[in-house]
Amino acid sequence: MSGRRSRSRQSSGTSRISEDQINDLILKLQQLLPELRDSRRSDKVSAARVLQDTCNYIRNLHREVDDLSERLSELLANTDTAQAALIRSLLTQ
Amino acid sequence: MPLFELFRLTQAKLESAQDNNPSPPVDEVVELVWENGQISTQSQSNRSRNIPPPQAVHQPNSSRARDIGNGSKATMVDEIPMSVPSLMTGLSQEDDFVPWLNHNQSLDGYCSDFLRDVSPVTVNEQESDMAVNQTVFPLFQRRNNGNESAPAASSSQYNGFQSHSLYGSDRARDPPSQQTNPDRVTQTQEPLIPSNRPSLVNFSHFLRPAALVKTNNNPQGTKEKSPQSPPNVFQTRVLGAKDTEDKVFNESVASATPMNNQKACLISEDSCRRDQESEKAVVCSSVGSGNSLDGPSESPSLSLKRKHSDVQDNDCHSEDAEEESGDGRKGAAPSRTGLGSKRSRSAEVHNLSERRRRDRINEKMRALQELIPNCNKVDKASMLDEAIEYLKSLQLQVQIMSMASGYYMPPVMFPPGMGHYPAAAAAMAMGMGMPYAMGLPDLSRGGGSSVNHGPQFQVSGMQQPVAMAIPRVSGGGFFAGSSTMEMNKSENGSTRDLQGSKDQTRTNNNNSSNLKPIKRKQASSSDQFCGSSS
Repeated sequence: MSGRRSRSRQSSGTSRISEDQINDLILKLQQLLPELRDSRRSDKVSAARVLQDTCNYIRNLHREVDDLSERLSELLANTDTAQAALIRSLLTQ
Repeated sequence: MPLFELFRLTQAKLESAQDNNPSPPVDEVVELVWENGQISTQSQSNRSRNIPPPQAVHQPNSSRARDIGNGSKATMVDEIPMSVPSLMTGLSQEDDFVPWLNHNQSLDGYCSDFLRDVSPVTVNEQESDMAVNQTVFPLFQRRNNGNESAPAASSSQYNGFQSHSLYGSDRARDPPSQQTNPDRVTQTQEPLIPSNRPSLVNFSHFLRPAALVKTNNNPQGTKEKSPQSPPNVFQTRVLGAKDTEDKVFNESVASATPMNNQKACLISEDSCRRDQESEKAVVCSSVGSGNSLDGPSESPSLSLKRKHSDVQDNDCHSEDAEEESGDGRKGAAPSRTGLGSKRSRSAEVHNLSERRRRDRINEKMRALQELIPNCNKVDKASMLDEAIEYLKSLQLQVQIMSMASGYYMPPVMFPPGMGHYPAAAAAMAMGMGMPYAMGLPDLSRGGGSSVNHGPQFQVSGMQQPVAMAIPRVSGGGFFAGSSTMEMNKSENGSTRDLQGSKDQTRTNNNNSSNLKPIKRKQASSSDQFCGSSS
């Protein structure tokens, strides 16, 4: 990635980020998105769509992480197994 | 009708003009005009006659814009004075622009005349062309006189110009002294305008500069063509100058579009690309209009295609790839209207749609930037880079957490009393780790190591509920790195397994800026786990 940026710097005097570079990044982002990765109509999916889906996906992931961490902390607090006790001791050290 | 507004404005302007003395220090007037964003003149010596009062500068342009009628055109005209300064600054104030704008100011008198008496003056129709050229021409010629030796033709044209002034003198409206030149301008314009088709009336405003350039080229040869980076506006016409009014009209209309493009690009939010867009948009439109000059009957889609092929801008390519179909549609749709209006309208629509698209994308980029924690990047590429990395780390985090939470459910039922928890974890991992480990294809580079992930994830799972929330809030580094660090930190007295892996993960965190090596390292560290635990 630094190579890409240095290339862009060298390509012109002005610090211009090439459109190809940004499109490349948008493509990479699209491949990370589950809903857009499967139906990969790369030439049809617009950048706005990818960005919008990314925002939604990140919000969903945030929500999931919150839920999961809450559940795990509950599990940790409630389980009385030896493991849980060990874990709790490790955490509270 | 905008004509009434124009009429009122011109009247007001004339009154104000009469009130104001034609300041002998024309230089000052010109400078004032210049500073206000309206380019009237640069050199003042030759212009003393022709310079309208500065107050009139703004009104004419705006009033003329309204007079032009079509809303789109009006915006174009409104934009033109604004865009020209940028052009001028970039182009070291070519002479060509100044007379054009100055002439615009003098349009008021002409417009009001037109309002007054719409009776076409067919008498001097043919001469009107010359007169039109001359109307602008004198302005231009005077400037050229100051800079270069004016050809004799210019003076003769100017004289002929005067003959038309007699026609205008019949008008009671014209204020006698100051507006002499505008009167001449108006008169010559008048015959020309009615002679044009009604559809061309709106574009008479643009027609003058085209005529100006055209006539300049003809008498002066290719002199105009030489300096021409600045008047990309004019250059297109220079390239394909023809004698018919339609051609002139098309040229003039095409000339308006570069301004519009430039203006649109100038006000686009994308500051990174503004300059390139403006330059290339001008080039685009100029090339496009140059192409259009060759064959006005050709579809605008063809000109657009040529524009796409000629312009090397990635911007044009990538965007036009998406919107070319739309452009074709736009080009085909207004084919019924005048050729020039079709091109300019399609270009306008193209610009507007492109601007809207850019705005949408920028808005979404900002929204994305807000979602990413600790993102202080201002350029798009680095921000997208961070977004990609953050998204990957988030995905990994969710995967691990879900696996860990699933992992915890069975341990509740696991019989207590197992001493060595890594062994128990290994046992559990054998039984239940595999299904959970399968859910982490990213981490396991090979199927054989899936079992090995069990103990590691159990251990890491202990830390993660607390640790994982922290990386997200603080945004510090990547989840994987931070969680393992947390794990290592909290387990001070832990087994040497973790200690052994701590350095490895620490180095991983320090070295890698990408999750991939971390993932691989995790896999290897998990191998270490298993090796030591078993």
